Amino acid sequence: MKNFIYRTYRLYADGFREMTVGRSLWALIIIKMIVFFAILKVFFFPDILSTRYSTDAERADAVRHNLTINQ
Amino acid sequence: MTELLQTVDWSRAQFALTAMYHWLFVPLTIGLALIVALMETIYVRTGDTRWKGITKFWMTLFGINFACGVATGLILEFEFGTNWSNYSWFVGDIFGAPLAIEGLLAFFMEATFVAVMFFGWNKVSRGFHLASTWLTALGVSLSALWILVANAWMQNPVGMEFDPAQMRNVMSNFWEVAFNAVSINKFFHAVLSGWVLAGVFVVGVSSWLLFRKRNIEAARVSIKVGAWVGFIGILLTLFTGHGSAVQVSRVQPMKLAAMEGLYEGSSGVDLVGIGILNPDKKPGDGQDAMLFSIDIPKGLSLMIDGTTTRFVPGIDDLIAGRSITADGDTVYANSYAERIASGKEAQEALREFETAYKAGDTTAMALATEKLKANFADFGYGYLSSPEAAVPPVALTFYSFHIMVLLGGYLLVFFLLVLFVSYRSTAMLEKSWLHWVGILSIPLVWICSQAGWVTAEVGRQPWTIQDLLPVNAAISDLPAGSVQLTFWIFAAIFTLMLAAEISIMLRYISRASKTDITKK
Repeated sequence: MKNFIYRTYRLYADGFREMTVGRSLWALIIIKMIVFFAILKVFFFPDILSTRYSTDAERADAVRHNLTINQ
Repeated sequence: MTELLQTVDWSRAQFALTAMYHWLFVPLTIGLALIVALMETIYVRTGDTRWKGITKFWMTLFGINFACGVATGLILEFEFGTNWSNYSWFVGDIFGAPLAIEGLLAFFMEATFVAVMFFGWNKVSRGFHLASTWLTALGVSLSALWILVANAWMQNPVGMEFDPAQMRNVMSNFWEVAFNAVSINKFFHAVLSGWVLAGVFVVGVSSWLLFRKRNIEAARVSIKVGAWVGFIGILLTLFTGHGSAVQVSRVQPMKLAAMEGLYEGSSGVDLVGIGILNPDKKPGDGQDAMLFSIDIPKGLSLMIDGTTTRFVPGIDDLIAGRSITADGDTVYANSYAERIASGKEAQEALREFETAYKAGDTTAMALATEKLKANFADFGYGYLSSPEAAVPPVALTFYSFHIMVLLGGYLLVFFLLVLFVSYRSTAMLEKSWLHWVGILSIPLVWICSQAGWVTAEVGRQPWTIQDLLPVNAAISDLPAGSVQLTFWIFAAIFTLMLAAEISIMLRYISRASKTDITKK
């Protein structure tokens, strides 16, 4: 088991170290994730029902209200 | 234009933008994974190390595309929660289950085996490496399955019951949700179109190598693999496309009518091959729908039923609730005006349920639930201002459908030509015009692929969930300006990302092409 874990670790460690094109790609992925999760999700894309209401019952009430009012 | 309509339009535009950018990456990932797996299989079976180098070349391009495309689909989930909160609550567990399975599969299969694919050369056995490559290819297709199941449910909502207390649809039959005819057909059509797209990509890039006279042998053998995958893919895509048309005629007949610009149905309807729509045509105005068209006689009836006499309802027929049996008997279903009235009854029942629910009156709740159930199939129609509001944008649906079909036909000829040249007329592989055909086919296959999704998604308007929830009811209570702002942010980010992918890919192809890629 120990040997398997060590070999898996070496696979990833050596793989990351020997990357060529992969370095740019990982940089791109990390930048993308930071922009998506730390900026867009936090500042621009709140989950409307989760932020406005604290229980599922309140959320259900809100949606029922939205779908029946003035229709 | 009212604030609500502006919010709806900007939210739709934003969703379309992000979904279309996402779909630039996905089909190439699906198809290229298969091609790489096939190439590595040839290497393992023959022991010819040139195939190892060729596999690594295409695998790197797969990796670039995978890295650029990964997580672009997450943005769509952000949008569900923010812009489409009524919708995302209303769909309930139906979306949650397939997306959760997709997340687990994507994480465990792709993340694990992609790492072995890229890092495992010379570190794991050939057999294990090959298995990892195949499992990656399987994993990306299975990820697509669950997303497409969720999408198919929106087009054909089955296997659920609406619970007015939770205000959600509750899954009652997982297998019906996951494996109904629409979802299965959609899955195969989308995945196989990825084979076609990747086939053209491989032939196109290889054509560029031939044009520059670099790595000629590697390019020639890559063309053969790409062309076979693309050829089999396009044949099966045509077959599943036919299946899609049959399903659409059954569950979304209005979409089919819009795809063909068909306003007045009849028995034995022609299929429009090429045509120009009358831009002034409106439902029920008696004008000709087409300014010009070249038709395939009885083609539409034949396509959806296998007979030349099948009645196909047009837009006017569907609005009026008119249909005719194959024997020519006129039958009437509910007209859209009646369905709107039924939808309003359902909403009234929901209001009654709410009052009873708050008062704790279980008898009144049960009565309201019965009334709601009786009218639930038309629930969404209650939000429409007129029967004509149930008609999708006909021009966009019609043209995108015909662009997809024409380019699909072109791609069949393209792959036949490439296979013929590769096996029977190899001297032609040196012709620069053929190289240009290969290179220029790359953007065409992406246009074809995107046009297919435009047909599917614009053609189902105004519904987010067919017949149950139109876009104007699915939307969140948000100012249009905030959605507009995030639309432009996404436009900028995704354009930058696409430019980064194209730039990294072109630089890699250019650099690798100057070396012997068979000796990697």
